[in-house]
Amino acid sequence: MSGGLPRRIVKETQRLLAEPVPGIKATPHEENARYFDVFVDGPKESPFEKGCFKLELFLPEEYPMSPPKVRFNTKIYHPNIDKLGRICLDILKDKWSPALQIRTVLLSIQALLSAPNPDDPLANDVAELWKTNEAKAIETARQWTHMYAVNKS
Amino acid sequence: MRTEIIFSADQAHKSSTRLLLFFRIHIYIREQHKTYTCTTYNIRTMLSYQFMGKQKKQQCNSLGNNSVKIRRVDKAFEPYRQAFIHGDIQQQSYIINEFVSSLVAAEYAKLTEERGYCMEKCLPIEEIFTCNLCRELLHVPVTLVCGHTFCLECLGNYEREGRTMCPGCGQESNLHYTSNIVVRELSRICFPEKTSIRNCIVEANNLLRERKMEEFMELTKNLLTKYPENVDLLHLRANGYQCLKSYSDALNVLDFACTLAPFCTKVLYARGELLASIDEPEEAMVMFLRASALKPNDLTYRGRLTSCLEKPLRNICNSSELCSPSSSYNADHEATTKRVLKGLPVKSEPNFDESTTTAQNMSRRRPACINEDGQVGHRNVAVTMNSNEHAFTTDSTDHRGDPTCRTDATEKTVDTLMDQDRSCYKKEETKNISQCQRVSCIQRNIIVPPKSNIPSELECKLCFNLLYEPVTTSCGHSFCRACLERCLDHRFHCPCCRTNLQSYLEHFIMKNVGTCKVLESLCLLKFKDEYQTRRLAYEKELLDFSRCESNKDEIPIFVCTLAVPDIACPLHIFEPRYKLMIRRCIESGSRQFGMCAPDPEQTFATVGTMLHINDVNFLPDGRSVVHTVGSRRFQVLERGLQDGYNTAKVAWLQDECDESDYTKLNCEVYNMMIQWFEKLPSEQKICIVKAVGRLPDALQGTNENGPSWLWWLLVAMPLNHEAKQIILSMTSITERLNSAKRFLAILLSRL
Repeated sequence: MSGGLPRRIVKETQRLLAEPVPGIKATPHEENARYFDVFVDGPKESPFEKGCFKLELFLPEEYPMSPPKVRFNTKIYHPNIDKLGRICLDILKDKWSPALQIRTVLLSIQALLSAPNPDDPLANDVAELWKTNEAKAIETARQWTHMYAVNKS
Repeated sequence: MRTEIIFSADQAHKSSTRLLLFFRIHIYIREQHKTYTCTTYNIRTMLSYQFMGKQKKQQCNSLGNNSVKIRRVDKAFEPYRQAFIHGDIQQQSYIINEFVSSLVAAEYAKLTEERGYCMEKCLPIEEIFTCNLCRELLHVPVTLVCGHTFCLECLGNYEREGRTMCPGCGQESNLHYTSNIVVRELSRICFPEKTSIRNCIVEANNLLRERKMEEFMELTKNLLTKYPENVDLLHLRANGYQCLKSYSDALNVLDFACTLAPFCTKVLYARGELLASIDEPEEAMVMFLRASALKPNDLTYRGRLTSCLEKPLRNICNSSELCSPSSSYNADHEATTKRVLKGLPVKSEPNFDESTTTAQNMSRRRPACINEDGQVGHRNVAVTMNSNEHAFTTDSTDHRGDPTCRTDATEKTVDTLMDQDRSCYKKEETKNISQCQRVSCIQRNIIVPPKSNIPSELECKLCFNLLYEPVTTSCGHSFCRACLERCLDHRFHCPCCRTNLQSYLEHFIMKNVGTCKVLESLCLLKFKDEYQTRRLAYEKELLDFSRCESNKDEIPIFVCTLAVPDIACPLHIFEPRYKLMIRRCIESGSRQFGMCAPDPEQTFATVGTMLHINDVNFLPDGRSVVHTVGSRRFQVLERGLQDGYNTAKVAWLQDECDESDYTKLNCEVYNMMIQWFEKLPSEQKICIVKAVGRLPDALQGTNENGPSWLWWLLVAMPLNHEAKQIILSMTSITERLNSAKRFLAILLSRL
């Protein structure tokens, strides 16, 4: 009864690899299939455009009953993502539903990049600037994207 | 007298050929079953017509050729008639019932004999998607808590009659339901045309109900140009004509429908009702008879037949002169009757002449056949003729295969669909994955998800497998029972739409929730092997769960407190993972799990006790109070995790055989304990008894765990967990007694 990867995780991984979401790449670690390296492209017409953000995603033992754990590895200037890369997203917390999948979670994160929500902040200083001087905040986000998320090579 | 009766028989049933034939067969059957004499006898005694009865009986027995058989028809009708005239109301109803039964039986036999079958045959897959209230393709399917599915509208009508339980099983349910999404989608995929027609019919029906006749006629006309041979549409249009009081049109349409589906009781019945309403009771009766024979259990059909039969019987009784409302056709009928009586057209193979006359009859009787619809009208007439020929003649081989053909055709379509499925699947396999994705997207309506022939609709949204024991929530989403149960352990909301399912959960806890029969049948029909695999996997999971004998078996561990052998340990279960664990304990029948105290370094302590579940009380919100009692002790060898709760491979702990006599020590420590307990303040005593239970008897205990009172003492004594843990792991009674003695001495000194 114990051990082995649940069929759901196997199938999700297969489908993610076979039918990837545009702008999102998720590959499981070879030694731990519950651990994924994720690359999310910054959405067009957002300050994160042209950036490629690295995230890590982990499926806990109780997945899909409990949500996956996701964190940004690339530094990002965003009111809902803090210095440690933690993400403030309802579906990753109390709004999680077992019918959601890795795919939908990553899509939601991509959408979060398109539509920052400074009213529900995680990084207070960023949210403050976003509310008081949005233009400057967006400019900073663009700079950060260029500094940390654009592959210069 | 005889001609009169024959004439009355004819009068009662214009299509005398047919009816006389029924009578003939009826008598034939009766004779075969040796009941004829009996019936005659009954009627005879009832009426005291002894002489007459005898005469009949003799006649019946002696004559056997065709013409005589035909002559018996009036002989059969005669006793019934006589009985009817002379009987009181009770007898009359008995007689008419008898008469109806024999007529239906004869018609049933005739249908079975001639067509090879007589019930409306349904493909298994169609049957699955049929509402048991309206016998139509499910429209807005709603699945009740018990798992039965009906059309939303049918259920609404049913409820309007004041009934709140399930029409299928009688289970009460008070939930508000929405359409079963999976069933709706699957029916759309499996029967695309039928579903769209069904939707249109419902729409048209609503128009009809609201008396928006213009719109209704427009809609049905358009639909009929698209699907000219759809019986349901024709039926509906006939209803519309009836509402507009244009009966001839209605009859035309229904005649055509009857040709298309000579075994469709609904159409036959509708035609019968129509004929009855336009004062053609004789033909109406034939329709009702046919419908009753096709569905012998339907009381509506039988009731209509009875009332139809009653009228002519009474009429004959009451009138000495026979009134002939349609006297203009008497010539025709007389001719037919005579021929029948001569025994010529027994098999009534309609020759050209006859059909022409029938056709003429019809056009004469219903001049509106050629109406503003022009061509359609003509066609209908033509088909009507045909229909009368082959639907009702007794032995016309030409049309024998007709309904079967239709069934075959439908069968083929569905099979082709499923074949397409398979071939698609095969084709796809050979292509590379991304290509097959695209193909599957394009051919979504042929239900092929990538790399699997299980349609995505039948896949559980939680475990990504074929639905196993599918249950449907009140919001219309379907999941495997076990998957949904696990979700509800965590939160009350539907995983798909977040609808609050608290009242549904109560049904779940009461074990009222049944598997969705439609989905289960479909899985079993189309994916039997996969379903079987799922069942085996599920059963194996439970079996593995319940096995805890060898040290290779992993036992579930509840990490909460220190439990000891023989002592009760009541638990309040509220954590999702333990809800799951307790459910598995009950479902697998093992009814036991390991209890270990938490350990900050290793999650849980190395030594624990198995707890046996005596009783579980579920609370409406899914929490439960579990009454358990300790049994074996174990030492943890290896720790694991399963679906959120801990597991362990263990070695069982047993007391070593103690050679030395510990009776004296046992007595001594027991007395010390009594002394300590007695000295406690009474509130504390009550508290201890409440929490640990009453002090076990001094002699109670087992070989492997020693005396029970010592375990009671271990829980009751104010000791730290580490010390208790050490005593729990001791496998020598003497050692345990000595430790207890030491602690008791300290406690006693403090009191």
